[in-house]
Amino acid sequence: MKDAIFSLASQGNALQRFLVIDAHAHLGRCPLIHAAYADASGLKASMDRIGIQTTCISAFQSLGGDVKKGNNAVAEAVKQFPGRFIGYGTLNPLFPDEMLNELDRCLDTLGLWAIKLHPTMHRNTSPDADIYHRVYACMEERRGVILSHTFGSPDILDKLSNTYPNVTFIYAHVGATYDAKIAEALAPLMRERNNVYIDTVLSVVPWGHIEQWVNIAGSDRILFGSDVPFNDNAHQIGRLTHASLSERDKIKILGINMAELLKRTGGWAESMNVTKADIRADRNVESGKT
Amino acid sequence: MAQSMRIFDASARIGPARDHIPGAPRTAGELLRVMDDVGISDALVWHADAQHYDSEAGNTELLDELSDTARLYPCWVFLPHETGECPPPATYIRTFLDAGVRAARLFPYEHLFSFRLWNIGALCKILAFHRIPVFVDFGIHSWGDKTIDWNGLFDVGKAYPHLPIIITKINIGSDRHLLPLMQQLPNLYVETSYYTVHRGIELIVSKVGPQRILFGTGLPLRAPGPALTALQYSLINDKDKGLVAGDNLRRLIEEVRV
Repeated sequence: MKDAIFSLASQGNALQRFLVIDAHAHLGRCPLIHAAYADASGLKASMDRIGIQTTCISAFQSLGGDVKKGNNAVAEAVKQFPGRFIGYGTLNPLFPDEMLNELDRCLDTLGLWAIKLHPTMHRNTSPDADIYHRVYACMEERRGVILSHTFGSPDILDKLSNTYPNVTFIYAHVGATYDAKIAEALAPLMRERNNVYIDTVLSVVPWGHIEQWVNIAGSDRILFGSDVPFNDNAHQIGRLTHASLSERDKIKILGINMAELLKRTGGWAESMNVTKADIRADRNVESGKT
Repeated sequence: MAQSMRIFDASARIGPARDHIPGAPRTAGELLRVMDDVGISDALVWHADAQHYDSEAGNTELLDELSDTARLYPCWVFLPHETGECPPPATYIRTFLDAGVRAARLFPYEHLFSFRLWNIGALCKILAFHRIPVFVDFGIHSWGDKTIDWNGLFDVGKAYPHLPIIITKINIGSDRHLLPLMQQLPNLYVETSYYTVHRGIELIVSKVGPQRILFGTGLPLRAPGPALTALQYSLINDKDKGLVAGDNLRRLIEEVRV
């Protein structure tokens, strides 16, 4: 555990020397909970104190309300802080006639990187529903990336990742707690296919779970995510910084895996080639709405 | 920015339990080793038997298990006394104080009683007289759980302004109740083990100051790292960080009237 990453984090020092990319985060307020400091400035201040270079965001507004306005806000944040934010365009299957147009708009007009789905929030639509297959088919042509709150059972993800081999599927939340049955089913997919990833996002942080995931599935397909501002990114990063993992595993999960995925799928912008020295933790920042 | 703080974990447990996670610390020695690994100086601990078996028996076992260490501070679990499962507070408190115990813990949700004056008023009166901090665990597990009795907290807090009440395992769904309540009840505290609100520690400091936040990890069920990094990366000054990290809890313990 006691490597350079642990030493920096345990003293509250930004992880300047390491590439840290938050693969799963949000923008804006959320009616479900108090999402504090939730605008782009607030998130940036939060990232700077920890040394997170880039955060991949989708809009809470798109999840719960106006899809297009939310996606527009994401594009604005990406533009406001080049290299610091990467955008997910959210789609809502309950508006089927608009969905594919919105997919094209997000990726082509707004320049967002990937797609975010939330089947649970959208009336528990099955990830295997026909409407979502229309999304998968489009993304197959585009060789795109989809982050989803859930892809259902491992069997469904097995089917999807096999049927759409050019789509990269990021299964949110499942890497945060260890369920032996799920892990045993997902681990072979993660080891054998390069289009299946899991992220580490969840407010619950059980003892030993990330270590168990790495033990069974390796660290190549696990992505650090925080769900900020739903959660505190400073809280969530402790899941990795203080884990009983090798420094190499931590480095991969914290940022290298995501960087490779971004580069492979056209998400790595020139503006991301910043030196870490450019990201200074400003401890006096009061920015962001509470 | 380097931080040298004496971190005092306000929420840790020892003892074998039905919800034990393999590999997690179980004994006092194992907990101390974890604390050493991650840089925690001291911890306030209760015994799993007091939570999951019998409060009086578990409280006694706790004293045996902590007899060799000055870094683990005992916290006793209480029940309403009317069923006879827990001695009447007027007499039990003397045993408690003579044994060097300086904090109490209640599990109203799990132990099926109400955090209301009519149910635990007699206990709260005694605890308040002695200024004994009481940690209240409402059974929160995840962000959406709604089991905190906010009305009960308000009533008890108002009735006993000298009783330090610490809501433990407060979650991200709590702020819209928590912040108004903390502003109205100067004796209401929070412990941070489950508090994952974005920049949450900074937020509470900005609203009510740093004196009523107690650092906690939730060991052994929770990995300690996240609570530590939430504290270490919080955008508050070093003095306030020291208060949250441990000095607030030390003050509460010192203020107990023996």
